[in-house]
Amino acid sequence: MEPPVSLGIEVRDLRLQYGDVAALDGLSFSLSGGKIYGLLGRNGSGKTSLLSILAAFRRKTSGTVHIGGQEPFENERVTAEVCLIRESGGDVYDNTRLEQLLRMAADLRPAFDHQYALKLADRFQLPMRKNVQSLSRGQRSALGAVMGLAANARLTMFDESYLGMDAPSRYAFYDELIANYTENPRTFIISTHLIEEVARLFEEVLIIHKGRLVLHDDVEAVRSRGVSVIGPAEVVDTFTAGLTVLNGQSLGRTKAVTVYGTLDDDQRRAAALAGLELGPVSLQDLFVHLTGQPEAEAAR
Amino acid sequence: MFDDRSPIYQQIADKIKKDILYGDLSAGDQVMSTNQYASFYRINPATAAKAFQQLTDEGYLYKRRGIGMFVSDDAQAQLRQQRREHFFADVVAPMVAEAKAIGITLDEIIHHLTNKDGTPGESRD
Amino acid sequence: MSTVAKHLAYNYRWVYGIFMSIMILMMAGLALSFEVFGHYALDDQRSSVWETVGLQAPRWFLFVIGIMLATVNLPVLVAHGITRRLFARGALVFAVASSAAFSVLMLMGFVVERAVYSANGMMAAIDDYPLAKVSDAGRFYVEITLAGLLFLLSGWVIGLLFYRLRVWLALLALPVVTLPVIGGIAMGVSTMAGVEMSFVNVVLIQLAAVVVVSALGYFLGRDVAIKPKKA
Repeated sequence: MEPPVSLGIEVRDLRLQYGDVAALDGLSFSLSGGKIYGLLGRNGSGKTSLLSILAAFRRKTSGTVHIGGQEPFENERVTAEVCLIRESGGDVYDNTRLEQLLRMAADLRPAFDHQYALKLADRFQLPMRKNVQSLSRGQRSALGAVMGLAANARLTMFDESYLGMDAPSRYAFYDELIANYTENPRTFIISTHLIEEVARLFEEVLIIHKGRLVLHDDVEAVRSRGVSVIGPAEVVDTFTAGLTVLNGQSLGRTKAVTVYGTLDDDQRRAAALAGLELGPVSLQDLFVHLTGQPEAEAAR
Repeated sequence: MFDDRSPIYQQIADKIKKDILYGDLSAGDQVMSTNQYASFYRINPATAAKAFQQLTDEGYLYKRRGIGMFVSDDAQAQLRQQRREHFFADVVAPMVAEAKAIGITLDEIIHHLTNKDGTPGESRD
Repeated sequence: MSTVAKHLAYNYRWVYGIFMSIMILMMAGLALSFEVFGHYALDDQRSSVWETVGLQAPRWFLFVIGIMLATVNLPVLVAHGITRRLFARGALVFAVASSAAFSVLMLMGFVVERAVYSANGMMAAIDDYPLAKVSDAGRFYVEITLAGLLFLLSGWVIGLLFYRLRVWLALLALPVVTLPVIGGIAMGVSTMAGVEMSFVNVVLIQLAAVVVVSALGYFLGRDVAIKPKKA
């Protein structure tokens, strides 16, 4: 057996067209692999389209997609190493008992860890002798979590699939994800629009909006990069001239803006002297500012 | 446990420093491993590793290969020294500024602090 | 046997088992009804009972299996890291094996029915009995196996059409797709009905239909997108 090498991902100018609508519109990024990536985007931003192409669920319209240096579509060397669990909680037979599904998965995926799957199913209290169609939404999501983690695929993707679980189950999922990743480091991509809860699981974060990449960075760097600036409108405008301003709102003569970028000590001192108040910005706020109505901002 | 507004590794490092400063972690004590820390606080292992890297770079922790990470002998002294240097700027200056703004004189502050062997009183009389 | 074919065999073992048991029960019933009621049971019978029960029913069953392969099994297996190409290859093996297995029972039914009718002196009253001579059994088996395969494959194609296209588009495309199927089957049926055509010609026409329908299935399936499932 070759040693487990993380699968890098290269995406260049990726397009996916549904008739007149471009779900992905020239998306480009590259991931070194072996990390837990957060894929953030609003509903309809193209998250699911991107993951579907990576998992070879659908064919791209144009552009380049390489996983471990190879095109994934209809390439069994890649697809055997990739697992995508979709929103509904994974693609499985509805009229089949859980214990059989796990056995089937073990037959179809050489890397599937059946013992681990049984252990996880027990932790999520899944009724092994019941059919999938008799499961609650939360149990369906938990089944997706089990299938995804136990698949042991070198690229494992969860497309908001865990959101159907209640809070205790979601936390159990986060625990298992970290334990699994620590023991067997590989590439995970987790898409979400509920950021606060999962952001700390990520090492890097990608934000896509309208089928394009808005941001890709180390999540810790992103956290230190958003700065809110509050003060008299003219002073704020002077200070933020030349900085990347994401949004702004005014209340009387006071203006509050969110700046993206690291301020150095000189800038911070200058801000203090000018009577401006600087504050941190959460990843969630930053996400909202980066993806929320940029047109309205440009007009201001 | 952590807020989302500043780098989490920074918050972890700060918490461990605080534990050392207040004596909850003593010289020679072993700290949790990166992985234990990651699963305990549900954070990415790389984030935890970054915090420990910073703490070893700054000399508060040291690594023993294959065993784990431990609190350095002079970690507490070093931290106290550092905090002392910043005490007046970081803690006293803002207090004085606030006092000035609301009209409390320095005398009042001194009186308050020296009253009842330095224990802060509930009210001023 | 490929992973996919094995998986499909495992997946359909109960459905197949139940359907095959019913066929065997029918066969036994057919034989028994004569034992119990004598020739009154089939006094006015002018055609083969088994032709309806034992020949047409399994074909439509295989047709439904074809639809299921395209709309249920394909998406699940692609989600488990199997390529469409590998699936199609395994599904074809499974399809041939399915048709071959059901055809054994279909043929057995005719042999049994024939024996029963002959024993009761009824064969003379029946026009165009599907299995004209017992010595034709081998050729007959090949023809019904190919016809069963055609039913399954056309189910696969129609399943894919509805999976891929909007319903009205699929309906529009339907006649085009069914032409070769209808052609292939009509040939098989017409020979059975007594229209003179050599065994080799029938098989050639059926094989041509298999190739055309398989090609259609291949083109419809090779880049099919796996649709989102409703939660």
